[in-house]
Amino acid sequence: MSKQKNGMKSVKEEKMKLNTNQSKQQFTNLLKSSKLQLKVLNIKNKLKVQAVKHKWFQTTEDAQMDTCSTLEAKPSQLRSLNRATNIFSGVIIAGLSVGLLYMARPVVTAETFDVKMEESIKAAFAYQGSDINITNGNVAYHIPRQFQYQWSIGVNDVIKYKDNEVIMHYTNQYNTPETFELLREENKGAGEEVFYQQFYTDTQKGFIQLVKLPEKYLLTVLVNGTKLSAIIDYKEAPYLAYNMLILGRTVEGYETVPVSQAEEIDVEQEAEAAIDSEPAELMSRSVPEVVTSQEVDSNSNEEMPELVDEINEKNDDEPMTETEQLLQFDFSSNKRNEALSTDGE
Amino acid sequence: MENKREEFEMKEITSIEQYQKVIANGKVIILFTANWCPDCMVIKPFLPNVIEKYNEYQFYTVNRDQLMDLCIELDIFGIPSFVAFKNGQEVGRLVNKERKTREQIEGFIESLAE
Repeated sequence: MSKQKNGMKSVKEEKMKLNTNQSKQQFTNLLKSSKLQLKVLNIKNKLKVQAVKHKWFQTTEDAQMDTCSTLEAKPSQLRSLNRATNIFSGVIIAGLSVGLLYMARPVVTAETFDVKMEESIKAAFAYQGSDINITNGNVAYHIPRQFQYQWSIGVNDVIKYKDNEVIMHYTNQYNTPETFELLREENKGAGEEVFYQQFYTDTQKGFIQLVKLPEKYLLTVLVNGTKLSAIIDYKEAPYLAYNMLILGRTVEGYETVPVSQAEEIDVEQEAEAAIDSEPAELMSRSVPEVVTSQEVDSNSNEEMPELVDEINEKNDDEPMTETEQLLQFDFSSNKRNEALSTDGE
Repeated sequence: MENKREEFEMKEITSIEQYQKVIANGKVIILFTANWCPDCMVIKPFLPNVIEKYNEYQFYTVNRDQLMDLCIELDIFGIPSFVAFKNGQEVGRLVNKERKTREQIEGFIESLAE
């Protein structure tokens, strides 16, 4: 019985052991599975962490990549901007250069010279101004532009242009028609004649001449005996010809008697004051009158050849020509000393 | 030819002192002129020939813009003008405001010898 009991006991114990073992096993298995699960979980977590890290890294990398791409884009943009600016600047500079070259181009060239001169001459003869008549000392004339008359000791009758850039020489020396050609030939002796045009209207006769000097040009305008001349640049010729022609057409000289003769007249006047009793004698010593521009005007309706013929005939009768008159003037040192001593008395 | 032309170029007087020194001795002819003067430019080409022809004279120029006081003193009221001196004394003058021809200038110089 006891054996049975013992046997049963042992069987129970064995069963118990078996159960226990099984439980242990199950527990172990469970543990194992838990560990595995934990491991899995751990691995999963690690994977998650790695994924997060990866994601973060990727995000950061993307951000870095974006930043890098932005940084890379800026120079290229700058380069293109720079290129565009350069092109724009180039266009502006080229435009300005072309504009400046256009503005600085010689308006008056050998090709355009004749046309420009013709335009100037036509414009000068079409000039109808009458209000701007300046009276200044010895001459009165229309002043179309920036001209000023000036006369003083040591200076001829001159008309200044702008700020003394061009000084125009005014005389009434060549105031007879036969001197036209003389004046032209004299000027030609100074250089090479590059332009000459004679004009002969109902009322006004004369010429415009441009002579090339070694350095500059001599522009001469003669209108009815009024000679205007200036040393100028080639390109100035048409513009100054226009102005000189207007001056020449409108000038009225008050002092048409050459200076030397005026001096003689002064001396005579002094003598006249001193010797009142002999006026007739003094009258006989009077200086021959110079032909004035008004006198030339009075002949202006006649044809030029007739004028020349008439003058030639006159010259045959009276050998006294204007040139000879000029040669005859007496303003020697003796005469000057006489005048000075007269003043002193 | 060029050397010959240079030989007969006029020397320029640039000061009163130089002027006084120049006219003090011998026969001297002074041309009063200016750069802007058209008539002075016209007579310029034949002046070397005149200087060569009348080589007993010493020829000088005065720019009237530079020596205005001298021009006032000498009554040079027109250019181109010529004044002749002999041993410091003025012996003749061709002074007016008109252009001079070669004949006029030579006539003036020859009149000095009379």
